[in-house]
Amino acid sequence: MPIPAFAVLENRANIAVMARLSNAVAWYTPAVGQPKDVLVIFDADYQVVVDGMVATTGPVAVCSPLDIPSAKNRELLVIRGVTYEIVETMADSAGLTPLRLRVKV
Amino acid sequence: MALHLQQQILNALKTRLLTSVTAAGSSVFLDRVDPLDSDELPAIVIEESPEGEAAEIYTISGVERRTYLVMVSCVVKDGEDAAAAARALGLQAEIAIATSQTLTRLAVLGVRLTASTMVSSGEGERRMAARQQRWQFEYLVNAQTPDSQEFKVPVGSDK
Repeated sequence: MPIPAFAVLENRANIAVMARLSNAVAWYTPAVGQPKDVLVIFDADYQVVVDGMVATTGPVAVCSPLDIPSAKNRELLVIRGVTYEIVETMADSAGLTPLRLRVKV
Repeated sequence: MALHLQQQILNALKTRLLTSVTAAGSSVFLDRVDPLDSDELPAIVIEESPEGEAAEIYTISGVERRTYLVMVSCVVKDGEDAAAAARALGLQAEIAIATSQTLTRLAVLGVRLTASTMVSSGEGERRMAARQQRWQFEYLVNAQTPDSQEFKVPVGSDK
């Protein structure tokens, strides 16, 4: 039996990762296309910025490229009742896509 | 209880920025210890500059010239135009301080802005910014009574 290509193995692993480790469902509104629910690993870690003067969070939602093939800046994600806009797409080397977010004002 | 002129200047600075029309509104803080929450922004934070205060002999009778440096940080929310908003808030603060008669009365040798810089955090489109101004207040005191101005000048108070 031939060994599956690495990309196939990676996809299998990431599907399992998202199924097991996702901690939120995001309502994703793309610039083009229909909105949909997407599993994400959501992390809103505490940060102190502006020379140590302001406390805030640096929210990041990790998603699978199978769910969001090409995220674009300004697209919206609603996570736990809060609307965020994507400010940066950071494709990582493990085949998942961390999306840096900002609360939509 | 008598207050050192340093504290009188800081209190007058805070009052002036609270009562002037700025985007910070009531979010003016003096000697703030905890980080600001993002929902408190825009805000103005007043604190003594790391350089503190310098003192030198002014007259042989014991009058000293004190040079007191104070940092005024105008902090604004995350957003694309954070830097411009910080400059705009800095402008409002600058005008309020420079036109204060109360501060002029307390710092008889002068009130002036000595430096201002932009402090930004974040990358790409996520930006939080503060316009940091360093203000210099110069006054005269007798070393034995640092809570009382020497050589008072006849100016009014802020309305």
